[in-house]
Amino acid sequence: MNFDWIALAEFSLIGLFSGGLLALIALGFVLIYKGTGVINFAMGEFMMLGAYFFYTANVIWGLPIWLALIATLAAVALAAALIERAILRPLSGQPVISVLMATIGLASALHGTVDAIWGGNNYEMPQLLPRKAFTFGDLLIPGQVVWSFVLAAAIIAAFALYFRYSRTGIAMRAAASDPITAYVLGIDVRKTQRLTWVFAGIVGAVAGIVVGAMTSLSPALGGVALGVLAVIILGGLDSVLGAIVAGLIIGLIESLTAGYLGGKVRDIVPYVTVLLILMVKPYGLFGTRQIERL
Amino acid sequence: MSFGGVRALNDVSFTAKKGEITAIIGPNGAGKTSLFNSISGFYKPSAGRVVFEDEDISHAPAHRRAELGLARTFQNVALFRGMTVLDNIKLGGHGRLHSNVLSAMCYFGSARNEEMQLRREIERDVIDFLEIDHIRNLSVASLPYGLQKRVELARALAMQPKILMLDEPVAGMNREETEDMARFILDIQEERGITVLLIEHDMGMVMDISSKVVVLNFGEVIGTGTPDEVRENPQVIHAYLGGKKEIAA
Repeated sequence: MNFDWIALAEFSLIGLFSGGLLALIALGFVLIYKGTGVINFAMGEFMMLGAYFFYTANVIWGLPIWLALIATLAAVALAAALIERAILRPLSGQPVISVLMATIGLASALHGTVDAIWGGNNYEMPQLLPRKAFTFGDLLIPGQVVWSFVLAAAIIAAFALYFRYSRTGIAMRAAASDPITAYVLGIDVRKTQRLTWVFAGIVGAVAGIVVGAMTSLSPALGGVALGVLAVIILGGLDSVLGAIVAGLIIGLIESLTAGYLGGKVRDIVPYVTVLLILMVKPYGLFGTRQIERL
Repeated sequence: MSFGGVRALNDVSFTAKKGEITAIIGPNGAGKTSLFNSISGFYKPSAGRVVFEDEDISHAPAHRRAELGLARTFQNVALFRGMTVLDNIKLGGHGRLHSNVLSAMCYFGSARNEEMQLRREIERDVIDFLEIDHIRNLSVASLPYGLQKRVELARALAMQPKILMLDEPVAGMNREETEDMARFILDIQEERGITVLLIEHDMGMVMDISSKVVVLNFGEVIGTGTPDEVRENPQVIHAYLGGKKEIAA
């Protein structure tokens, strides 16, 4: 019997490319965790909000795609800022578990609101990314998968440069690593924390629009981010590099599992892998103190 | 600047004269750092006021006080360890820049001009002045302790402060490093007219460079005056040194 090398290569490439999107969603988690010390369980709901806003602006109101995109990002950014102000800031200084519960509550509140406004139906999302497939010799890779990877890589790179070189980005890193000292230097730590939530909201909205277009739009979209928990646990909660590497690894594992073992086990195998890796490296691959800060 | 009545500090009141070096000394636990924390805005005093240039800033948040011109260093070096020396220093200038997030994000127009000007000022007034040009691109975590303290001073200077509050700037330094630091502090005060508030246990340095010394013990002021006056104050000698030794000059 001949082993089908073409299929293996295809599954692997699709896996790595789709890992870009996982890394992007993971970046949303990492941003908030680094910036404010909170794991935001409502990350998937940011994605959902972004997708629904975009659908409404583009399909229902008929705005052109670019305008709908800007309006969506602005709306989600505003929502994230309001959430930070109304829910997270009053809880600062409270035990971590209370804050976590608050983000879980926020997730179900957003979920319910979306369900109430738009209903639980599936909608067809407008296609943002070209669907034309890429062929590499005998290999055939869906266009959306490749373009989503390019988009995710561009956004992650933009954030990395922003935090490395821009003044506000450096101030955000400073506030994340030592808020008290940052405060004394005249950095408005509340402002940087608000900005952190806004950035994470924007990242989530973009991811939501892309994922929604590749699957379909329904309130279940929020659940995608829970799958990304495996990525951030594997990569280490506080490492952007970890999010990227772990995103690619999980993407690869998911794709190979789905390809060879079927879609049912696809959601289980990544977690089993993560479990095994965590036995050896309890802080994740990159979640150590020495790792380069964002 | 006057200051009165905090919990760990009981009815402490003193004035630092503009353009002079005022030292705050006292045994460990006397409340020196608490006093600094109250002045820079970390602790909210339950009673009492902080007045800066005739303005009552008792209720201003810490980052606002930084913008007004209060800069400080910490007893334990509080640099951002993952960053380079230059990034740390530039963060000191952060509060003085007024471009908003969006324009700073785009990095052009006024944001760019501000950034360039800040860079020039930092080059001349901070990096060359403190002789740390050779380490600018190193990570602060890799530096020896004495240099870390100097970088922290550099960051405070980049804030272009009117008052510089130094919490034990020479603790743990050898004699040569201490002399360097004393020279820098004197230059800062003499050439730039910056008011300096100094917490320090090194009596030799305190007596050499301060024009006024405030002695704290158990949260209260037990003596104020010139170095000579304080040295002779019997209450100070008793409380501070157990009444046995003389204060070394």
